[in-house]
Amino acid sequence: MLRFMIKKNILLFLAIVCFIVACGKKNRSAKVTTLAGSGTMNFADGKGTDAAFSNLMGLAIDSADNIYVADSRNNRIRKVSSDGTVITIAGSGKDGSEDGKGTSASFFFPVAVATGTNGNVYVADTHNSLIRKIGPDGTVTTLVGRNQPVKKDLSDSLQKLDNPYGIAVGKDGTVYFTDWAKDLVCKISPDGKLSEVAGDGAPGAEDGIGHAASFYLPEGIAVDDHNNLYVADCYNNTIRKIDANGVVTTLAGKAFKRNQGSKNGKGAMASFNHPCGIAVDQKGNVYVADVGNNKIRKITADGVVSTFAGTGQRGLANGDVKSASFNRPFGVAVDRAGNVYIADYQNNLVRKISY
Amino acid sequence: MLPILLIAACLGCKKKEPVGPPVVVITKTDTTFGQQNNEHISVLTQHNDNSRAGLNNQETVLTTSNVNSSQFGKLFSLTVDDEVYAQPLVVSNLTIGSGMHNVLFIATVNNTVYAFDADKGRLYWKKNFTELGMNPPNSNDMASSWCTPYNNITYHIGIIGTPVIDSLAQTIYFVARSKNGSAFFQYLHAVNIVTGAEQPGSPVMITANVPGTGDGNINSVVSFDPLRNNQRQGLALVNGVVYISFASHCDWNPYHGWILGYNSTTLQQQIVYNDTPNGEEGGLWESGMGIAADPQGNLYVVTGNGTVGKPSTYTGGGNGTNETGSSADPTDPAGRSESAMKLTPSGNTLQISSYFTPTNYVDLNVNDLDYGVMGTLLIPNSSYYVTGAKNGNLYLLNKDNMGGYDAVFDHAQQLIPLNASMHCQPAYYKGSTTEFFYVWSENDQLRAFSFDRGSNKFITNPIASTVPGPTGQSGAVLSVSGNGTKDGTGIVWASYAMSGDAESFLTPGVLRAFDANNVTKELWNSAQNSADFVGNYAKFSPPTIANGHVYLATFSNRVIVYGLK
Repeated sequence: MLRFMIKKNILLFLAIVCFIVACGKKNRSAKVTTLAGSGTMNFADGKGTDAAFSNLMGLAIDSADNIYVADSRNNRIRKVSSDGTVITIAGSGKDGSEDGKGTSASFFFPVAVATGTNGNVYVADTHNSLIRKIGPDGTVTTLVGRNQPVKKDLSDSLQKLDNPYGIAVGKDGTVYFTDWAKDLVCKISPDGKLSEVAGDGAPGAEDGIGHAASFYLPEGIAVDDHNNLYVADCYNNTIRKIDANGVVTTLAGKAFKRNQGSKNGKGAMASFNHPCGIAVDQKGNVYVADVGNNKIRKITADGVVSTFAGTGQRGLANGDVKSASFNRPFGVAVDRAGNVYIADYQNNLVRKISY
Repeated sequence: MLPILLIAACLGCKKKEPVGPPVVVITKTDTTFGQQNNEHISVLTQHNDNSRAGLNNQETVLTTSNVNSSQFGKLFSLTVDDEVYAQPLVVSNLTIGSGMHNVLFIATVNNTVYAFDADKGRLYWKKNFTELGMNPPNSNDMASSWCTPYNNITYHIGIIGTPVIDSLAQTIYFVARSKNGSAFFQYLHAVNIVTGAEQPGSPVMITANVPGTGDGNINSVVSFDPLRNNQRQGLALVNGVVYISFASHCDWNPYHGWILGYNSTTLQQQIVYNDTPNGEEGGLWESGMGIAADPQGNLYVVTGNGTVGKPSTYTGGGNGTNETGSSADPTDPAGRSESAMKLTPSGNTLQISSYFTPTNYVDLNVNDLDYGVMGTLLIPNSSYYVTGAKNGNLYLLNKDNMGGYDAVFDHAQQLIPLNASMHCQPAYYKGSTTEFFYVWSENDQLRAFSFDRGSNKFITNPIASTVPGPTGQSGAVLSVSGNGTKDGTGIVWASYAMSGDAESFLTPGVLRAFDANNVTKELWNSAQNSADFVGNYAKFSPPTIANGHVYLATFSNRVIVYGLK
């Protein structure tokens, strides 16, 4: 009897401990901090606040938790280590489309970056309308896009991109990107072949398979481990999902005229205002840089939207996610530990959200 | 005893009638009035002159030292009968009301024009120019398949475009709109600025026809539509011709972009230009900014969505552009939507002397990313013309060699991505060391780009203010004041909606002042003191700065007058 009671009490004690730990974890509030940037629109390498960005827009994280930044108005690609040290890996700062090594290469308002296998970094070189690749040694090459005059009889319209805004790399090395002004989602297979994934080339909000679907000026794109794509369908104010078979659905938000909003809820009940950046974590949670709302939104795999961080007011307050503020956050990335990084465009800062 | 009495009398006078800041009279020869003083500056056209730089560089009262919350604020407001879209204009030293006075002219969407004393607010005259027995059109008349309800304009649609004043002829020109049942009319008025009376031959009904097979043609004639054609841009007076441009209401087809020119003396129509006679659309509106022009009489304009070159897939009808494919010949001058143009008078029309059409004009058309959205300006004493498109790009063009169309590359002088939609009016200032171009589009920051005379390009990393800016789809409208290039006098004035989306809704406005040489330094704003409250923001109506005062139109049926308290 005594043995039984001791055993029962131990079990009860363990249950209480587990409950307390679980509650503690659940109630643990995420905090926003500034990882790098002085806040002043400028260019400087250095650690933390010694570094400076100029209207940064896109972020990506590699397997070593280095953060790559599309430092858009500086026409450079930056690398931020986990201690906040910022270096420049490519880009002279002048706008241009030169290939070459490191700072001998040039970009023109690169908006997004993605990390791939073998240490490659891919860049949506937006205003050059090119997809660029930065090798592990910093050598920049042009992967896709027309930077040379072509003959008029060239029929493949994809040879001429028009402002790629988002980029992501799948596990197999496939590079996905959004072509903003062509309202398309495209991919570059590992063998270099370019093709369209979805979109009919005209603005719209149709769900469907491949070309039967439509987007309206899509921006950010992310890919999960199952090759599902998530697209910030910016002018529709929706988040779209494209499964591995090319089936496009609307994960959250509802497209109709003047549908901007910041409602939380499931699927079509939720609303966004100019969602631009997007990332997906290993659990299938999608994070959205909801630029017009100055918020980071979170969407569970079943489409439930909540506000992850930001009061909605423009600002640069750090601290609890409920009281922190951003100023037009354009880019978002999430690491394996679940830390979320923000390209805080008008604050010229890399922000970090962690528990 | 006498001196004491005089002093007492003077003090008594002061008590009775508070006066503004001391007026420094500097007499010089002036072609307009025979004499000029630096406290009597006129603003006769939208954004000050035909460069549309928005700069009054003869402002000697307001400085970066005294524009602050303790010294500067609202002096009085002038009540009018409706919303004010047009920029208030000022004629200085006008002989009116038994003396010479600075006079402020205000036009409302109810077709009423007011002449107020610009310094003390006395009303000299007001007159309504709605046709007898008619009413101004209203927003319900513009409901269409895209825009029902139509709320881009709140209700009345009378005088929208900023008038232009010929101070020598003492005439103000404006377009008033009227409707009689389902019949719509637009009239060009020429009105005496002293009396408010119509000048001989005024008004003239606006009509126009060109040969063409474009949208809405009847027997190969395309006609001006007084219902669908929206007169948004400020009028221009260039070498004796009053130019008026037109776009549409919410891309309601069929419509075309028009520029009509009228002899300023006879009011005879002498110029008719349609930018898409065989196609569709091509509206000219520039967020309300006036038509830019050079002293030689060339006009500089930008156009919105529509036919580029030879028409392609256009089928007519509906809303929005039907031009969703490539043109067989994008260089055909008969279709110049999505373009910037230099237009030269030639006979009874305008010829394209130079133009620029972006390589991606099809994508702009498909996505409703009009090229011609931002107000455009000519950088003074240069060959360069600044334009901005809905795709978020500033395009700096050589005004004499804009770059034409190239299927592969844009031959603009410079392209600067701003990453915002550009429903705004920029401005320019020349300081003692630096020339600045200012732009504050919606969802962006106030940016000051310095212009490098060596490269004839902007330095691409601008100075940016961190002050929260306009949101939604309506950016800020800017003006600048300064005393020449003298340090400590340059001020950028910005008006915009403090919250909400002014594109379609009434929203509270805010007026801000920044140091023109360093826009990170805000000097003053109307939200600092409740007494300075603007009221509802007047979309596309920039502040007018003249003679120590700042005149700001509102959508609260009044014009606010700010100055030194």
